[in-house]
Amino acid sequence: MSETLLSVKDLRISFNGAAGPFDAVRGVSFDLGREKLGIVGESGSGKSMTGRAIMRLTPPSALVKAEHIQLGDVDILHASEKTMYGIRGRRIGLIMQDPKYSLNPVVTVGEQIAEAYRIHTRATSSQAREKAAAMLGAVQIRDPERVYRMYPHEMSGGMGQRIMIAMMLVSEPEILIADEATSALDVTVRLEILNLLNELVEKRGLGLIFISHDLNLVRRFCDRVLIMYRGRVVETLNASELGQATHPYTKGLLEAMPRIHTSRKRLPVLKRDEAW
Amino acid sequence: MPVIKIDNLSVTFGEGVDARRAVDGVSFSVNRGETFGLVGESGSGKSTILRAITGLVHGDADTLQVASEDVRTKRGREFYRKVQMVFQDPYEALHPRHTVWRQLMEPARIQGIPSAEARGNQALDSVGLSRALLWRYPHQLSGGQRQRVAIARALMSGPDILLLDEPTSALDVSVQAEILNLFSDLQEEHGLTYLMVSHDLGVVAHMCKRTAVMQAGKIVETLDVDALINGGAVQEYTKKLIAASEAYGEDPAEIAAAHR
Repeated sequence: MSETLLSVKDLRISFNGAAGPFDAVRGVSFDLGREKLGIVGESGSGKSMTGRAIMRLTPPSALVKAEHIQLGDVDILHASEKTMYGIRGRRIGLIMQDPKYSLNPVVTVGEQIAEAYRIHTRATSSQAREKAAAMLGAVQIRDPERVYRMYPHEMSGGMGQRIMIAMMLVSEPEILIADEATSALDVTVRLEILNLLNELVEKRGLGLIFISHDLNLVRRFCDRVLIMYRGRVVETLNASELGQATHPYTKGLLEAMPRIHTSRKRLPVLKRDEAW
Repeated sequence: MPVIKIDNLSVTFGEGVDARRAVDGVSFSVNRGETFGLVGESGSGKSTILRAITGLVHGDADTLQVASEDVRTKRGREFYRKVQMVFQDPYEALHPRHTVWRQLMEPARIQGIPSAEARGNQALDSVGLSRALLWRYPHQLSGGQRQRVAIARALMSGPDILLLDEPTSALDVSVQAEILNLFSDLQEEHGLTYLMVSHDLGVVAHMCKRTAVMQAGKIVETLDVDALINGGAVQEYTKKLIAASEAYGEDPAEIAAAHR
């Protein structure tokens, strides 16, 4: 692995619920280099919360503790809110599942990208406009001039996700967090978006944290995979070695997936162990 | 014997210049006791077909028969007893302020189902829901439990046909496995016929015998699932869909083994 962009050590996130404290994340550690790191888990495994903690975007009721969350020279845990403004969207970008909820419905997509650029740089509005149009081209949108003037409701899911990627990349971040960024897309569109992400990661040397519930997809797309269950990393593997997973949870998940080429009368159901 | 027979079904949304054909001259039939798949990408019209069958949207067709009954214009009470639907997102399909028990009793009351309570208990047993959950609200249930409630509700009227609209795509894979197994069990137990919409070729390959592949409102081809997965697809689009599913889908070694 190349140099470390981000280091997370013993991250713990808990909530004080009505039924007593609830531990959403229970001691997660990893280092991210210039690579595609997958975080896989089912709903409630703490994978999204881990992503949020890196940007310090956990809900106010969350209690976040860690030995450290280090982004280069910045200690994310103790950084001032002002420092965080310079990090969110600038050094770390976040792409979420549904572009419909991430984009402003009453502003054209081009202006939104230009606005993101102006917030992070001191560009003039005409520079920002140019940059935004160029970014639309970079995420392989045909006819960027026309799309620039379109509103989010006029876009398909795949196009909306390209817009989100363009907006996140306009400030040239070091790290991109994609939280179920392709889950709402059709398979053929998903493939295009993944190819695009892959190209951008390789060309720009980004560190990508790819959060997903889809083990098969992560196995093909990422370099390394963390498998999370109930707030813990149960196993870390090179994506190519997922087939040799040893943890019963990972194996159970792989088994439970319907396969195109293997016919089985019933799908094996995961048996959960309290000790995991 | 076909229990659903559709000939030249079209559904149009909008009027004049804005008119858009969501379903464009679709024909297929589903045999009793089989699981028939409708595969395609979003916007291909697969869900609209289900909605046209139930009358949630208006469709024009030469033939639209369910259990030998013409349902092009009027659907009797009996139709709604025989045909039930399960939706993608159980959280949106359930009433947020009704308990599990009330979710089951409400349709029973509307449809005048006799001995509703006994049926309710039966339905809960069929889907494997514990009685301890009876008085919970949807937000107090897990995703899998919610979908089980939605399925139990569909079973209340003792249907012959279930229209399944992406019934597991909002669920975790481990839960998806449980729900798909449940569908298999229910089919065996009650002799149900399924018409299943899915974008996931893995799910379709697991559940269905035959499937139609849709694109832009039209059926591109209808074929046996065995043929579909063993390279028997004729149309370019179907091949592309399979390739895309495989590319970021299964273990390459498994695919190679299957093709050998």
